[in-house]
Amino acid sequence: MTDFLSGSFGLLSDPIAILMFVSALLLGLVFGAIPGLSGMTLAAIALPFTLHLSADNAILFYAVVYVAGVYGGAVTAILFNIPGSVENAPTALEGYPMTRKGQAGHAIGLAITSSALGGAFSCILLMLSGEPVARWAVGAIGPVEKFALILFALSAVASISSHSSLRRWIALFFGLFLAVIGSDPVGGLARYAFGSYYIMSGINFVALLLGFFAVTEVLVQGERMLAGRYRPPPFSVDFPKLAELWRMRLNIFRSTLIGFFCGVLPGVGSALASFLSYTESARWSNTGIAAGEGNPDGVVASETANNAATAGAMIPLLGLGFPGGGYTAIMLSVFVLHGLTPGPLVMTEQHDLVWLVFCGMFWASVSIFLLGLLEARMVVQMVRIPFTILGPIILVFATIGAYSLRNNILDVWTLFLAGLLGYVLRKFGYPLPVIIMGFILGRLAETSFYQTMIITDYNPINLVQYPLALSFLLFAVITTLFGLRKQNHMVSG
Amino acid sequence: MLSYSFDQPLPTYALGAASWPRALLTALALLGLLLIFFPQPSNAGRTSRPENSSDFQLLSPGARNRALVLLLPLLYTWLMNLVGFLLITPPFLLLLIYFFGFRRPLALVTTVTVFYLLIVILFVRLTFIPFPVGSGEFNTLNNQYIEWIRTLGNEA
Repeated sequence: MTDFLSGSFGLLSDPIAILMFVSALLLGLVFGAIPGLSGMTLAAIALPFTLHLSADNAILFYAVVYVAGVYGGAVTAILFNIPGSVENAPTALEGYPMTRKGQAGHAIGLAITSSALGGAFSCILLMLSGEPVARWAVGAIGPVEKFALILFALSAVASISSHSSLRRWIALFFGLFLAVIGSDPVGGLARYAFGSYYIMSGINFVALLLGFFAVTEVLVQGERMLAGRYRPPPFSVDFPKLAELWRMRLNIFRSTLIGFFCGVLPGVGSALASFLSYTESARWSNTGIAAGEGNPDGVVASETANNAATAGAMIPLLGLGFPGGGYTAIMLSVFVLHGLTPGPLVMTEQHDLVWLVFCGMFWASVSIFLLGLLEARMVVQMVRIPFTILGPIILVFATIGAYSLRNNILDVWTLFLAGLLGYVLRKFGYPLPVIIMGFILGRLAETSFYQTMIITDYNPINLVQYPLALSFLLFAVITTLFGLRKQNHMVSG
Repeated sequence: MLSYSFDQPLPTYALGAASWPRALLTALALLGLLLIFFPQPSNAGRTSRPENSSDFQLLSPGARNRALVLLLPLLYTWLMNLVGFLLITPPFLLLLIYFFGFRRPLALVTTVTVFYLLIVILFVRLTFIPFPVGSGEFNTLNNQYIEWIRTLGNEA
């Protein structure tokens, strides 16, 4: 408590720190909300400027941008079906259908509240646990456990209620197969690259994501419009009530834990967190709204988890010096630029700095709630723009988003070809989000599979030595059986 | 099979680079066969629901416009490499908005101009994204245009 108070006092008593906090919060929200830009873009642009700042203020700036940027991506996911980044994809799955039903304000309100709660609760967990959790995670979660956890996540994705579980499984395996294209993670051999250096580096997941989500949606809606069957979504600014949030308390609690846990695991991060908590919320939801039909529980689960993961990701970064993802890798470079080496010693030797980061993230989560409500009242007005104008603008933003990541025109080809493929697959009833999930986790799954094979000497019996992995595998089997049973009930019912 | 040139033994991994894709392809083939022999209703959730068959009739009235809407993005990408992003984006926007059924010329031009200016300020002037600049004469033209945008207002 004393540390928290002194950290907060350190933040509030320094005018430069306040300036960094406010600017990081505003810029993070803006960069996160504009398709084609993200918290990562801002982090990369701001890197040279941080040399002129003290280490405390530079690291505070990056911690706050991280929190604000993750929330910012939810706005475009809900309003236009354009996830700001991969971790906002599950938000689009339920948020966009809510917008189509005239509940854009409600969805954004839920996203703001759950982002703030997920971020704040996980910061509290971060303050309470810190280094011991980092040590446990690194010691207890190896490749075998990671592989089992990914299998569990994949089984959960393929088992969300659907009339056609076969199509879901096909979509999942198709997504996993797309991740194979490029080069193999063991020997670096080119696979299905056909001599192209571009393909050897794999399919760009942002281009694929934007293609499947944004381009497909514009094509489908455009076609409806040309057929004279397009109905603009009704407009409303209807924010969630306290009673509704109270009803979702278990969902928020569960998603915070999932998000925090996934954030702690290096290389897994917020994408798995948001998908896993989304699928869990679909399983336990009692709203009576099917997954993908605009279920508010899905928006809450996804946004709580991806914000909770940001605090979780600080544990391996600060406690052990392991960046869990791209953004935390940039943060690590900020530490290095200022002559600091994150690791066990930073927790004791740079105690004040660490608590400034913790407090900055906590207050950023709280501020998202206040700023987000103001922002939401303005941005939901964008739903009023006619789709004849909005659709083409979305396509141009998606183009910029796909291109700007690697400045490669082939990513734009990927974007539009994925959009057309998604359009056809959607016509035939294949769930695109499941393909995306398979694609995102595919490479991670293959890498941890080959590590598991080597560790267990290619003998699955040796898995008995890994009780945590066995528990995850058991959960995966139960989830699959549960999904198939539910499917049978739906088909026979 | 289906592994082309990457089915080679790896010194550190007995299963090789081809085992994982082969397992996935086998699973896909088996699931495909299951779908053929045990057809399932495909009307799942909203995101996975096949559209009404009337949506998918490219030979129906208005089919030409629909085909154009589907092909225009591909044409846009091809021309982007040739003409450059900044020069091809305004006509692409104008055409697509027109094909989507927006028929008020003044509002159309105003909307595209405002949006285009926003893109230029945000992505060329402020965040320096190196958009494709085309080839040949277009390359020179685009580079001069970008330089002009970035220096505009700096002379003073």
